[in-house]
Amino acid sequence: MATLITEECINCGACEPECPNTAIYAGGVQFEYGGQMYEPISNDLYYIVPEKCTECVGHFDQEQCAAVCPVDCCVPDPNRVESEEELFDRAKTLHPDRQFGDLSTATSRFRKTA
Amino acid sequence: MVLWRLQFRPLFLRFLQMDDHFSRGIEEFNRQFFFEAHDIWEELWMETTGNHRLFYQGLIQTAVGFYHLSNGNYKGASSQFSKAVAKLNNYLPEFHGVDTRQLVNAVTECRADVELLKEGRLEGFDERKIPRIQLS
Repeated sequence: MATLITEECINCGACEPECPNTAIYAGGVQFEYGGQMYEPISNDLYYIVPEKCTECVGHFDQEQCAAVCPVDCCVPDPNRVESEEELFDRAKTLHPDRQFGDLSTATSRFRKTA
Repeated sequence: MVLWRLQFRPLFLRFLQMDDHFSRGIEEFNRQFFFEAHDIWEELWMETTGNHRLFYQGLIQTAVGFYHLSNGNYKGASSQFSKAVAKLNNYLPEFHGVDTRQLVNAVTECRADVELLKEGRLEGFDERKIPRIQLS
């Protein structure tokens, strides 16, 4: 599932620079996707573009937005459940110039042991 | 001596700065400048590892809860209060000079009122219930 920013967000902006996919935008700011600009998903709060979110699969072992959020408002979107494979494919699509190795405990939260 | 200064003085100064952040956050909180309190503690939280980290985050979430409450965001306030209490419960009855028992009790009571506000069973929030952080 993509990650979602809830209404608990206080607009501190800590999450935005941490996203490896530049999927996070400030409220009211247009987002870029596939070379085109789109209207903001939220006008008030920071938001995550689900089509650009890989839950950090391919990059890190946990969602970096959630890791730096002081109010714990970056949470999995229950309406967008996606598999590790789907998310990894998205990461490759978003970063066509990057060579991704095999997923590991360091690059996928799905590989972490409980 | 020189080596001691090189190795420990910056660390010592860093702790002083962190304590200054902590105190300034309390001052802002007690003035009911909740966004400012959260902002100051957030810097502290980001630099902290270990036992104090969740404590600072509990304080941040307390401040953010009251910030949301002041903006009429009852859902956000209630959720932040819950998260704050869950964290601060690990630091009872006192931690880092803060009377955490008093704070947790007050936040718990405020959350109960916010739930009533959400359900329309309470007309307004009694601002006298907003706690001051008391140093023990």
